[in-house]
Amino acid sequence: MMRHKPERGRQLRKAFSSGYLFYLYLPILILPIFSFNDSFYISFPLQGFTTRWYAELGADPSIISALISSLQIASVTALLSTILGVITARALTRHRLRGQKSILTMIMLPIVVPELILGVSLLLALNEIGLGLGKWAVVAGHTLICFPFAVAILLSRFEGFDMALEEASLDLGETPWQTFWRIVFPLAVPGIVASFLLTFTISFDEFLIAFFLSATEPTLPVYLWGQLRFPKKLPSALALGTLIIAVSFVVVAFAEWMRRQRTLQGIEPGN
Amino acid sequence: MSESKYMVEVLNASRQFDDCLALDNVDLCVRRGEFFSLLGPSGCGKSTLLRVIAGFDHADTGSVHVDGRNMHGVPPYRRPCNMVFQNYAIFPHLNVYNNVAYGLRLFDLSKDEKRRRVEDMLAAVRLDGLGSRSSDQLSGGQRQRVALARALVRQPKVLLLDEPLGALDKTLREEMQVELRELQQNVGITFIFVTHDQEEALSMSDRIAVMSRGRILQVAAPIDLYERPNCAGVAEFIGDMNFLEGVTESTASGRSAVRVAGIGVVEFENCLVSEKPGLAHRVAIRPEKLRVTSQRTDAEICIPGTVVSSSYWGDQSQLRVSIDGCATPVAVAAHNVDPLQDHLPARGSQVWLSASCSALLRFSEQGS
Repeated sequence: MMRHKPERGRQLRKAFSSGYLFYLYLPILILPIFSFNDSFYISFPLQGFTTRWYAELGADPSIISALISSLQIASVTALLSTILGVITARALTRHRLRGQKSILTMIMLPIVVPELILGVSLLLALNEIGLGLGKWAVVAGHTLICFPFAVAILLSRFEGFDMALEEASLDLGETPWQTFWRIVFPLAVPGIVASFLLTFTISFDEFLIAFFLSATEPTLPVYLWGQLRFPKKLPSALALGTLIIAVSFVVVAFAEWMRRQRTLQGIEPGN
Repeated sequence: MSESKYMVEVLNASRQFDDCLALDNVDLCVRRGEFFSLLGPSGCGKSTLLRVIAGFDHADTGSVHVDGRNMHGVPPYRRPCNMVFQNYAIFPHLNVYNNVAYGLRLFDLSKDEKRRRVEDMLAAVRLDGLGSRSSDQLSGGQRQRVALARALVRQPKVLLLDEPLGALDKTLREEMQVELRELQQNVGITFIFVTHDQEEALSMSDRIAVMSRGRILQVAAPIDLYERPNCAGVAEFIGDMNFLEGVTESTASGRSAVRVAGIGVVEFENCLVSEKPGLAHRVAIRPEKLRVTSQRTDAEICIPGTVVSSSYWGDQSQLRVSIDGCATPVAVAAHNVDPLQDHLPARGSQVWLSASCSALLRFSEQGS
């Protein structure tokens, strides 16, 4: 029967998408559930509600210092790679560079190079030139892997950029530097925010490079991994994970809210 | 301070791009307060010339003077010119008011003075009350006015306009032509207007420079350009033109007799440069200078022909008439003033074409 076909298609689609959503989010849901579970062991049935793992988190100075390290590294990395990304994306879109394609390939290469290789070679290189390890070493490594993402995001933003707008600003008496701040920057803000948030998240989540380069200043993922060896610390690790998810959610919601504010302003008369 | 007669002087300007010569030894002098048009087909170098004057491009050789000042090495933001861009380049993140006020930041004006100046300008381009509109709420015509106001509010010495009416539909374009011309006369600023639309150039300009392949063919007032083009290139580009083959028979004391294909021997009261008997050249006549009648007339030139095609356009009728001795039929534009013409000569009917000798133009084969 012809009429049943679309019906069956819809059911299949429904089954597929709900299956996909479960697969995607169920494991993540384990974290908050067990972070409030009053037991050291990750197993059903649940034992009872508690917030003591969260209290333990706050009482543990090494977790706090790992969190601070991670935030510092992620902020500096996001800032650095976004600034470099803006400069690169502008150079690639404004000027017709010789060998543009190979330059772009070179920039994008770190995305496909295994992080394990990057981590090891950075470890060797940094030791060799005597810069040592620690937060700055991690920032260097993270900037390396975040930079291609920043370029990719900003490139698409700058590609749609009308050169005449900059020329119009120059024509109206503004220097190239002022033109950048009055025209290019405000128009690129959505891309810059997106690049900052994405590179921040990548750096914040990254484990392998941080593991090799962080030395005595572990980032949150490195610290978490270290805690997994102690069964008694596992529930607070889950609590920590839950907090990270909550923060990520807030950040993404905030970014989306910001974006909508901008478009609303664009539609309603300003001033 | 020596007041130059000219507001903009371009001397010997050449500009070579990768594979084309965009400007080929261009000389251009634009008078103060003039509405000056650069007219030519796309790719003729008119936009390049405008960008060289604005400072967005540079000439490889030659010089540009604006108001007597050499513009060599002067960046666009220090030139006394402002530009209206082809697609207006309205800043999308600013509202109308802030777009217009954009170029006033570095002016030494108090807040009130600035506000008054912007609002006066908005009123001058009939955008009063729309200051708080955002750029994506504007129609094409309004965007054009914002671009105009934004440039004029700085009171530039020269306003450069790069095909500003090209993006508008026909009715709006004609409306804006009149408005733009009026505005120019009110503010008294020198306008240099780039266009590929000859009617636009003819109806608006004080003078027009016709460009082709990086060179200026002729600079003249609209009437001179149409009635007395200096070369076949200009004659061909401005309006419609019939070209006939001509060979000089004899020359004597500044007069010459020419055998014109399809017409016969015609006496001209002028000579071409180094004209000698036997010189082959082109003789031209505009379609509307030919009159179609069914009977022979006693005009200076009157030749028989056969109608090849005819079409009725309302205000005028377009005919193509083949005459003996001419390979291509000549075009005739008959203005439909006579009520007796209630029907057009049909295809194949015999007619007479008459014209006066003064309507014939001559061009030597070498072009300009």
